[in-house]
Amino acid sequence: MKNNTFILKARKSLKYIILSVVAALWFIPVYALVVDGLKTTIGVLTTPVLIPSTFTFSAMETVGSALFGPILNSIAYVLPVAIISTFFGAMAAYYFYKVTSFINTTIFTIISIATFIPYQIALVPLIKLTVSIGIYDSTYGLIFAFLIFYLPTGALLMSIFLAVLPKTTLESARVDGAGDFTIFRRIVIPLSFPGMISTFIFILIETWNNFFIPLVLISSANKRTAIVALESYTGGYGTLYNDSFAAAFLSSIVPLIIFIILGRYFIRGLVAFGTGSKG
Amino acid sequence: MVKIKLEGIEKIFGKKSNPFYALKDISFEIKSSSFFGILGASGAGKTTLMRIIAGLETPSAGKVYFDNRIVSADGKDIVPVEERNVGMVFQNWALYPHLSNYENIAFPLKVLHWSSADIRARIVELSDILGIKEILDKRPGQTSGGQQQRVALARALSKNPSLLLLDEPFSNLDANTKNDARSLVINIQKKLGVTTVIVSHDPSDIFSLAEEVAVISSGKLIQTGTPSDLYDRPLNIKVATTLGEMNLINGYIELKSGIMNLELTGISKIILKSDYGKEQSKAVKIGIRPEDLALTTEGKDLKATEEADTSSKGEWIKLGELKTDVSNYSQGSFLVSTIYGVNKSRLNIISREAIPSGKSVTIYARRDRIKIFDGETGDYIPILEKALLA
Repeated sequence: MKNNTFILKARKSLKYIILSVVAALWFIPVYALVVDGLKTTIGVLTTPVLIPSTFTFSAMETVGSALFGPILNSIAYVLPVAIISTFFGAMAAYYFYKVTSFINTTIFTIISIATFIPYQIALVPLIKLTVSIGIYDSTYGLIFAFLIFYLPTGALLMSIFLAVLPKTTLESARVDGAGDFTIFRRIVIPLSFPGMISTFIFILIETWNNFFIPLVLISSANKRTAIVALESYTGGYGTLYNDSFAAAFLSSIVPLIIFIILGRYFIRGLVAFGTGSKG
Repeated sequence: MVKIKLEGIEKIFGKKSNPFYALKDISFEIKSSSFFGILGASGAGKTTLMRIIAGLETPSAGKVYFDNRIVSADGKDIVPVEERNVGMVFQNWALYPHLSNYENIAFPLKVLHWSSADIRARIVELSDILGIKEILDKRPGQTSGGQQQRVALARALSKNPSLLLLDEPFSNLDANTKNDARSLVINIQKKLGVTTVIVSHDPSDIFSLAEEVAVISSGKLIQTGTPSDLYDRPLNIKVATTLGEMNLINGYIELKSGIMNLELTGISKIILKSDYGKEQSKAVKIGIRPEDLALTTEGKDLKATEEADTSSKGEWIKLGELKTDVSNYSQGSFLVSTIYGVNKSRLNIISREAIPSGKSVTIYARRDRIKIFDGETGDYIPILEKALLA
């Protein structure tokens, strides 16, 4: 008996030790960004990365004012893309879930494959397309381009979450007289809400961190996105390390905040992924 | 209320090259305001049939009429499920887990744009009848199985459907709750007069509720009629065993100039007078339900025991002496299992008392309840109905 409780305790503490190590590994980069972003130009060069030394807001301030515009630019395209992809992705997923036919399976397979194709190969036609419809070098152009790549992702992720909804629940709503839109709004959205949040966060972070698409689709300096602007801090002639740390921190703050606020839904969504239970 | 008519319903699943016939040429009628049962073993196609009536499934061929209106025909739904004004209780009740019980019941009414005052009045009325007032604010997950079932029933009834469909509604309830639920369902059906269809594999659901029943096996309709009709005069062995337990004994029948020899292989031979007509001799299966058998111990005559007094008229035929095996308790009486023949087959008998294993007992059967089925096709042969003891 005694031995048993010891093993149980050891197991439990081992779990926490591993969790702490993993958490620390994840936290170290954020910590380094904050600590070094708060150093002076000399301080960041003379002290080790993980040890705080001089303390000044000057780097944060200069970078902050420079990045403010790009961050707003990023928000302007990231939120619409994440919201639209999640919403319409969920709608598509509902349709795929509801109607099983040869055509549907084929379309769904194409969508799944499409999400794995590297988007880089489509960039040249994409630029031509945006130019010809007159949305090149604009937020609309970015939204359009990202929707092409992330609507299928939204549909794919949402169909994984919808698969755990019991079919009889949807059928009973139909018997109760509800049409597709009512079922989607009153049954599917509430029941798959954690999944929608997860999809939303996933797409938001993916689009926020995307460097290549905004780089080629945006040419005006004042329309640059946060991640593209961040690149300018790794200069060709020499790098101001405190500035680049501060820039990296500030440009990741928006997804970080959203993740902290909605994180619990994200985790619930992941749990549903793994166990097949209702989120 | 609505009258349902099915005409040549067929349902095929799977690929064209390898079709699976879930339902084959099913036609019957359900009278308006009646309580109709669909009985069959699992996999027989009864739920598919109900889903076709509801409109959740489209028949591959055949027509479904609601009164005189065609609602689906030959692979097409003409009236979609949401416009058929059907209420349905699913086997797992399929309540909306994110809504309170109140909102669950209100859902069909909200879809119909009822005012919230009307919805409240309707829910108060229904929850009074169904006794679910206290749990209206709770969610389905916080209520017991019996209560969830009543909520599902209230939801199905809230919009005043012209047809109520019950898909194995009692299979997830324990025995006591089951009886409460059955009496509630039958009372409410009588009160509202709504045409009701129940699908079940459990004959007791059918006997307690349905006025008429259709027995389905392997996607085919075998027989329709009142439950007691089917119980007493089943068309074949399948119907007989679906409606309740029946001992099936291999045997042989020989009819010659008004005298019938009935051999129950391994048990006994009976000689009867019969004017059934044509002379014949063939292998048969003899079906006797456990309650139509009686037993006495120590060679006593049946007339001297209690058993004979309680059973209704009709003659008892002595079948022979058999050895008992086990006695199972089942709801107030015992099911005594006896062993006969070279294959050690079982003959189950309802008895007032448990009999120890290995005891020798005398078996009697009610003459008018012995059923003869064709040995090959399994069809019922009414040969014994006019037979008398020789």
